[in-house]
Amino acid sequence: MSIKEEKVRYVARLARIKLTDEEVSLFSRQLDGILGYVDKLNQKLGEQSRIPPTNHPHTASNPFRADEVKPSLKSEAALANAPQKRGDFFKVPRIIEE
Amino acid sequence: MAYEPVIGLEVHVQLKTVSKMFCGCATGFGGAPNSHTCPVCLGFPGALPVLNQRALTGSIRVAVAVGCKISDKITFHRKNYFYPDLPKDYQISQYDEPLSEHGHLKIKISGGEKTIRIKRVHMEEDAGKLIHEEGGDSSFVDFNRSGMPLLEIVSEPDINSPEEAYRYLTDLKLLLRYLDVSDCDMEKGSLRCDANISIRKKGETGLGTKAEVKNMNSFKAVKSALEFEFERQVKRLETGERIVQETRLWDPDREITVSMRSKEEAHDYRYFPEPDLVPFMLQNDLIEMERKNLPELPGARKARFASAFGLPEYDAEVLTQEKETADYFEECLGFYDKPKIISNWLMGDVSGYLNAKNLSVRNSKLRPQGLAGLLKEVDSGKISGKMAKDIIIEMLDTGEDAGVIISEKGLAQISDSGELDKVSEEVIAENRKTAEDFLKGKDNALMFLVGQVMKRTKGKANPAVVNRILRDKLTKKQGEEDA
Repeated sequence: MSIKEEKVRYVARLARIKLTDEEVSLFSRQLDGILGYVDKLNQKLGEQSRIPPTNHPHTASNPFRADEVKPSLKSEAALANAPQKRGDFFKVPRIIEE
Repeated sequence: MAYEPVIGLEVHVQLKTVSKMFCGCATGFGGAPNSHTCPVCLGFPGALPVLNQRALTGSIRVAVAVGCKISDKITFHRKNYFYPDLPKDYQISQYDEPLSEHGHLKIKISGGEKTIRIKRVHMEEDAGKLIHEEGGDSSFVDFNRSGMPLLEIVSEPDINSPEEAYRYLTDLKLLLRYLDVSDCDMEKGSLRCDANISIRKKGETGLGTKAEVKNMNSFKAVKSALEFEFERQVKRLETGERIVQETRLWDPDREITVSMRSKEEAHDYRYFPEPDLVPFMLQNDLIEMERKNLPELPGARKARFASAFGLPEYDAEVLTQEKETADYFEECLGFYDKPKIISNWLMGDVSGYLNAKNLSVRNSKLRPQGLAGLLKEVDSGKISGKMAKDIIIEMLDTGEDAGVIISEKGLAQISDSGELDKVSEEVIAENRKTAEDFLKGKDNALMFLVGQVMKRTKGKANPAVVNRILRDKLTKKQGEEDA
């Protein structure tokens, strides 16, 4: 598997990250190297010993929370870091639905 | 060429919990904007989600009720996209290891039942709410809804008419309300539905290009939108045009669907495992407990009402449309053992009153024991059925016992023959001519005399008793005269 520059640009656009041409070429080479290494591991291990994807390194299981209400933040606290607000609302540039 | 629609529905319901899915913020409606928020549901860096156990058990209950296979390992994924109502820039949802898959729901269609397969039932969190300023250049965000627990129920494309879609939704809602996992109130947004629809020539089995239809705010709107969309797609194919895969919005005012401006690129959510939540290993006993605790489901209850109580199918269906009504009916039966009579009253006068006042039977003041008491008074002849119709309104208004209302208002029917005897004598004496008419064979004449007695007793006389007394007196008189 190899990573083309085109792919890097696409993923950067999805993640809203602005990359310079130099960065695109650098990251393509680096990611290509990482994925190449994974390919090599797969070849070495062979199909039989394929390891299932690890969702999580922790072995903790089922940490639940009882359905109980805990105090929320005060509106002022919730809005304290908002770049823009009006009343108790966060204010954002107008979003056009259609 | 005849076409048929092929429809799949995605239903989101808000689970009935007191706190959100991954944090302790309250789920109740009506708080000031952003007053039910915390670092978790606002997506502050470093805040960690912890799963609400009741959201999980409620989800399992639904999965069990629709016969889904429940996965023993449950993982959550991040669905990544950018929108101002999504504070973390991803939604915690489920992807390739959902809670459950491969279930089904039986729906009623004309002439029988149809099985709609259910592809999957999975959990996810809700986004916040955006409010748009009319004509302004800003939008406003309220994150009170952010992180509310949702259950997504996805059907296979087994639905072949807008009518069937309507039925599916009605039956699914009924089931969910029986399971007590959601209010399923579309107006409040606790149930939402999107539809995928394509068309094909009748008899074919392949799938055509589908359109996704959104923005329907009632079951009726879903039906109308699907009807419109079916026509639109048929017209396109018949005029040699292609169907484009797209999302369309239902416009309830114009009653049409409108294409959403197509995005530059197809959705690519880059799902990946949510690293903040470890996988859940579902123990069998948790699933078995939900299975064991399943209430009697609507279809089974309807069948039982018909067979055990001898109710007509129509009554059984109406009474089981709401779990609450069905429970109420059964409680009434505990005090009064005539199912059909209770059914008549509940479906007739009681439901008429409740509909007019927009109340449910539990919110009314009429108790099952009270209704039973009233019906016993009718059976004993103390009051007439007609009187009972007035009394029940009073009972619904005030919650008073029938006996109390009857004596307070002096409503008791006069069945005492001593008193009726006297009045009957008077009436016969004052209506000689009519009395003779009766004796000559005019049956209507007796009805007139009964009417006169009723009038004198202000409607309180028991008509059957009056009828008997008059008949006796008149024939006796005739006997005396003949002798």
